[in-house]
Amino acid sequence: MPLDNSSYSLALLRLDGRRWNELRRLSAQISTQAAADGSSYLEMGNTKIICTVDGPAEGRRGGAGGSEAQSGEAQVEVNINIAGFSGVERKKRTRGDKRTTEMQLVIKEAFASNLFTRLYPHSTIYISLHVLNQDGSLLAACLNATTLALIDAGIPMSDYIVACTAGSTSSYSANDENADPLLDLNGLEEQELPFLTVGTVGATEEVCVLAMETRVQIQRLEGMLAVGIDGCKQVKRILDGVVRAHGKEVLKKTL
Amino acid sequence: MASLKRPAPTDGNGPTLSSKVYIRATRLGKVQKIVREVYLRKDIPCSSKLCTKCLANAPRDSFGKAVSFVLSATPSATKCYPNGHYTVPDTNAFINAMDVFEAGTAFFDVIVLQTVLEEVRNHSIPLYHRLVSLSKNEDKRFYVFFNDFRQDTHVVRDHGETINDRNDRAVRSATKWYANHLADVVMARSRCPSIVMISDDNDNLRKAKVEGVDAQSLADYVSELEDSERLLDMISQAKTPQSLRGQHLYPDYYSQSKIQTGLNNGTLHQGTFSVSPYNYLEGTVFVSAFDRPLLILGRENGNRAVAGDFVAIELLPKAEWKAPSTKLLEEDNVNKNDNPEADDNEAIVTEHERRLLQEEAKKVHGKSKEGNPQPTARVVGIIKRNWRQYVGHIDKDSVKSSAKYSRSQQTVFLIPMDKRIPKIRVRTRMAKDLTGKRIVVAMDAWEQDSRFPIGHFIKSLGELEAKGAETEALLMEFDVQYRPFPKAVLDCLPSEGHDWVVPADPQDPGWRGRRDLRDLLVCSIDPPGCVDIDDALHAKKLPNGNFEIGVHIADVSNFVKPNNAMDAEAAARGTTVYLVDKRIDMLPMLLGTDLCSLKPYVERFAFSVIWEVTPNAAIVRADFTKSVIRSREAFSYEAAQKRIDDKSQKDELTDGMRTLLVLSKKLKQKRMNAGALNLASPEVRVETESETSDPVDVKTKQLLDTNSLVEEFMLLANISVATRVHQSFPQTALLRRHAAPPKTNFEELANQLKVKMGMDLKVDSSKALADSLDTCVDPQKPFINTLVRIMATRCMMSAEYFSAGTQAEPEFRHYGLASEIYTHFTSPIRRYADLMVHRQLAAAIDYELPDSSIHSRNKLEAICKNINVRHRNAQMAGRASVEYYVGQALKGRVIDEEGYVMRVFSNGCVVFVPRFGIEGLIRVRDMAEPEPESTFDNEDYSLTLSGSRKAKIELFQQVKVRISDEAEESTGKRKVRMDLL
Amino acid sequence: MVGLSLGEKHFIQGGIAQDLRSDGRKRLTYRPICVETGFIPQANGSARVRMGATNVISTVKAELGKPSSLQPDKGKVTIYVDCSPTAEPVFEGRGGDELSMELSVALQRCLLGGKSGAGAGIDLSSLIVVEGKICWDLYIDCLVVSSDGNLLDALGAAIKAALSNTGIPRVNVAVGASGDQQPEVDISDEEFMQFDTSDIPVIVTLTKAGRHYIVDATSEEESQMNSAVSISVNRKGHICGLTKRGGAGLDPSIILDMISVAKHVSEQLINKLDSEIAAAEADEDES
Repeated sequence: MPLDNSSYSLALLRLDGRRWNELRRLSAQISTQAAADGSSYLEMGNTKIICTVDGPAEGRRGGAGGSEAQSGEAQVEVNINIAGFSGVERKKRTRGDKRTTEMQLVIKEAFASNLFTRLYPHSTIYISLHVLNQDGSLLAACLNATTLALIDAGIPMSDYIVACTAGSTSSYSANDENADPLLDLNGLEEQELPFLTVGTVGATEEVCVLAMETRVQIQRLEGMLAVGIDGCKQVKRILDGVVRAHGKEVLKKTL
Repeated sequence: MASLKRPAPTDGNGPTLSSKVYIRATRLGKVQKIVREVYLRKDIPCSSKLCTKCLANAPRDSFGKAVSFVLSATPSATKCYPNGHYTVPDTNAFINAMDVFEAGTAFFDVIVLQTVLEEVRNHSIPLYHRLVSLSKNEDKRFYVFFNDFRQDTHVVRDHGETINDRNDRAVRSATKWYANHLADVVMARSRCPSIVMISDDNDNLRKAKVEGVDAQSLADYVSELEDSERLLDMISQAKTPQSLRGQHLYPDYYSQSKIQTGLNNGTLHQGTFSVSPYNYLEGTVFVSAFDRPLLILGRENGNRAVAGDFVAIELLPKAEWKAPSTKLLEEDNVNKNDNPEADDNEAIVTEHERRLLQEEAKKVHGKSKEGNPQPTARVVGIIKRNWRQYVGHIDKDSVKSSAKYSRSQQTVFLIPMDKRIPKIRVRTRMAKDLTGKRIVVAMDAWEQDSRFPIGHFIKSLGELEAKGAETEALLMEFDVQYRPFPKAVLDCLPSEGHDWVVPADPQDPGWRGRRDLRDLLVCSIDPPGCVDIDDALHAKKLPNGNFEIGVHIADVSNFVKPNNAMDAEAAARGTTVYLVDKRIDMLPMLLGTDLCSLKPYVERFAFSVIWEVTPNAAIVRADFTKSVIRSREAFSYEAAQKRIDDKSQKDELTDGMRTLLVLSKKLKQKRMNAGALNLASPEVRVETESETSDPVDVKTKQLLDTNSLVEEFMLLANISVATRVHQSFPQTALLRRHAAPPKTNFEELANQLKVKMGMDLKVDSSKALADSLDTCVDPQKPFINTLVRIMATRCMMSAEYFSAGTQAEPEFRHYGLASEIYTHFTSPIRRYADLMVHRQLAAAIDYELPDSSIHSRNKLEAICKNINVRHRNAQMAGRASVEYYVGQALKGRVIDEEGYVMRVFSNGCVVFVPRFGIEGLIRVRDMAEPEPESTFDNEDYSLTLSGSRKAKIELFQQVKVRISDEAEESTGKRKVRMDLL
Repeated sequence: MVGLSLGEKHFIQGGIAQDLRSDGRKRLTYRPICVETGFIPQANGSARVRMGATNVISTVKAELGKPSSLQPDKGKVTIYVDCSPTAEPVFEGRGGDELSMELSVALQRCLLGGKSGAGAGIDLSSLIVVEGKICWDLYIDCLVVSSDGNLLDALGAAIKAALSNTGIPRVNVAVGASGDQQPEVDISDEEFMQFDTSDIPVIVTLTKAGRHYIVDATSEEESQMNSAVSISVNRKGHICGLTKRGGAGLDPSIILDMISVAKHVSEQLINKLDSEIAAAEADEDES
């Protein structure tokens, strides 16, 4: 079903009632899995992710540890499991497809450079992500969930890595000059509109993740990026709130 | 332990969340559950200019521009609503009466609810687009209020409540909210407008009453308005519940699944229903499974299909196959005395029609040795209606005489201009006023128990035969967009207006990538009085003995950038439409006749194709460049011809033209040798008086060598550009093809020529056809050759635009021009296709980056589809215009002219008059009084008259006819009448 | 797998022998069960069940399909379990696949009965839209998010909860279609049908460690198991299915004993589960 975006210009409202610069409801919890070293559950709209972190621990696969042993810093391993029921249509197993592999790599690289891995030589940090429901901004949601789970696991990092998507109200071929940039696309919007995923380190404007799989005219990119970075700042505030609230809760319990 | 539930919303001001769940069945039969979030907000404005509260937090876009408010501070007042009022129409109001809402005199300050807009979209996409464009029309002040996104007006479906009931409740609740909201914010009681819900749903009205919501039925509301009679007539008749009579006149349609199954297993077929222009009861449907179209005879088999509808059909048993009719049948002559009101004893076939059928049957049986029954089918379902608005006039006889003085509502017949469309039954209170006018109606429905479809009045264009009304009528009939360009389009024009000039400084960005060709001796050759000059030419001898030839085309793409309002408008119009006295431009005048037009003596931007050719007109190389030129002179064909023929002219410009002429003849010869067809269509020119544009005389167009000069180089340019663009954009090049006609198309013509002229028409290739057409001559009747060419042209396929990826390369061929590849490049001022090709060529030669629109396949396909339709409509509108003016020129005159019989029927014949380019029907019953006996010989294409008049009428026969005009009694419509002398 | 020292093993075994397990439970006590439903909006039904650190999700998606020619009057239900390596490192590679398969088959047997579909916990004929032509196919997908023993019982409970959360759109069949034609169906956006889930059995797994058997074993306890019997019991106390796992042989009398214990335990479990499901549904309606 093609996306009918024609009503946007009538009242500057997106299909779900948001304005161009608004995030969806973003909510998250920390320490959701008793068994893991760190865990989180995060929802960006209807995109729902469970993240667990194990480690730093001894490498599981002995054979592959050659470089690890010499590197003198912890390795990061990311595993994403997209549940078969998470999409609109049921799929059997999506494990190991190229998109998932790429996302794993992006997340791994983003965190490998942000975590203080040198503190844990000869060890591995395992990040597992369960995608329970998909409704757009998947990579961004995974990054945000991972940040929270890593914090829960107590692994030191320089700052939060926060991410969101940014798009544009007009499709590539329509190329409307007056297109507004869009923040945080849902699944329906992602199908048709150009969008990118941007991740920043904390509330700084330092971009650590940038991925775009669609075509877009170069003039529109700047606006999209600016909106995305602004969105990251909002995400940072929300995640920070989650962490602080959780910290208070923990303190209350121990007192 | 943490739960996966969302925490309860904590912030008071942000949007709260709700969700919308619905089930969708995909085409593959899968069932999907779709879940969408809905954010409920508090900042959706009421958009009333009376409300300062909402204005303060009007939403802004990313440029910081706030949305302007729509609803007037002083809305119109009526008797019931002295303080003024805003209306909130329910979905059914829009569905039943969109035409009323579009009327220029009523319905301002309307609140379109999101709930309603979505329901309208689910009901009908075209209706939805009309509603959206209404809401963009600043004059009408329609405001789309997103009630489902506003917290106060969002309505959640209760358990057990149907979606319909929920939506009705949403409409009422939004109406209520508006009333309360305005009462809150507008201090002065007397200025606070009323909010009126308008619905045609009695249940909704009743509930509104209970809940204290101000509501009216559409009819009640409209009858309070000024001009209510006209507006009431514009409400759709489709839904008016008619108690179904015991007997259905037409058979049931098959169910959708039955049709689908039938189509899948090949027992049913689908195609577009077309109706013979000579016989309104004979339809054909071309289906892919057969070479020849299937015949659909009679009203019952047609089963309520209207010309243009996409239908499902089923073959009849062989015993019921019939031969195509040999009879002329025009509805308004057969069923003159139908009573539009009387439905009771309506039979599907009138007595008169039945008699005609009997005769028909007898004739077919009489000739049983070779009656040629053809596969005949019947319509079993309508896959897609293709109804539009129809222009016509009211059948005077259908108006009750008493009604001529009263205003009571009655049903009348509208006779559409298009003879293939059945009469439409229209209910009106204004029968008196509308008689004798050109009026526009919309078809609403065709029920099983009604012999004719039912429709409703939309507007009157003016007196029959009045020039303005007739011109507008034919523009509407051919769906030509003729309203002035909206402001948004004009805003895209260069701000300098007519003062725009080519920048003097070659460093100016406008010069980037342009070649300076100002020193070339360029000139243009066009029809006299041409102001939108698309093309100019030059020729120059090169030192090596070859020639440099240049074709320079107006650089329209420099002014019309992709994706802006002007581009969208031009894409929608597709082409400029030329009528006898009027031109409906594709682009605003400023561009078409000035800034783009390659006017003489001034510098202009151009897109040039420059070839080096040998003296034998063989191309050495072709080069494409954006350029700046200065045309030395604008010639008419005649003036150019004179100048070339004038031996005393020895200047370089004239020499250049002579070179062009010589080369063009060689090019033409080459084309002809390759098998290009020299086709003919009746071309006449109406001479009009310059002041009043009243027609004075009709002349056939004269063709000079200079016409062909320009044509040859344009063809050459188009072919060169097509090759170049295809090379760079193998998938998306916009090209033009002309498919080879199937041999069966020529069968009848070949047989006619064989029987009547003893000639053999070869149709194996375009070359063979061209050669055999050349032999079709009769020294006694020189015009026969042209006539045969005209008839051959009608057997051809029509050329079409396509994007390269949609066809295999051998299919690119242009049959008529005998070229492997072809496109349109040379008339960007008046054809959108050329403008697209300009953009593609500019990208191909790296002049500019390609815009996404020129290589998006979907977009290109949509453009091709549209411009193909527009092109065809423009041609037909042009022809209809000539026809109308020829008729006007003949008004009051009686002329005897020479004509040729081009078709023979059992009860008449069609005669073509070359002098006026018109064809006319002559019925046997009009040939003498009393009607002569006639014997029709189908094999010999002849009709022998006996009794009151003795004569034999044969195909291709040269006849003398008397042309006069007559105003038809029943319709008051003027027609060209021909009589056989 | 959990690597335990000898001392730890003795501790666990000793605890079981004395009816005081390492987490303080008695032998026949379940860990607290926590049920949530309806949080996967795009599925027709979903539930999450947590028993201690065991955490599983079950979802139901319904698709229109064609009934098998052998049982034209019944719809089809398929159960898949996904033990992703993300949950437990042991699941990595073939291990996860084998376990997934084993659990899927066991669940299928315990909840859906034999091939004839006669012993199914839900009424398969209620899935029929047009006999022999159209039926609903239910796909039950289970995801093991984290595992701390007793997966089968948890999955069984999650499926039961997910099914009671499931709403299937009502389908109206156009009349008049006959013969070989595929009937035309109209899927209602307004009405949903719910399943009667009261007959769906629960699964009670009794793990034999030493001479005793326990319910709801944790991973640690499972590592000490010599055999286990999973018994599915419905509300009426009927045995709906039985699976024995683990290599060590069992005396038939012990099996009979286990069954009667399971029957007893199942009553409590069913009641507990029903009240949890009811609470979860009420919770969902509220939000």
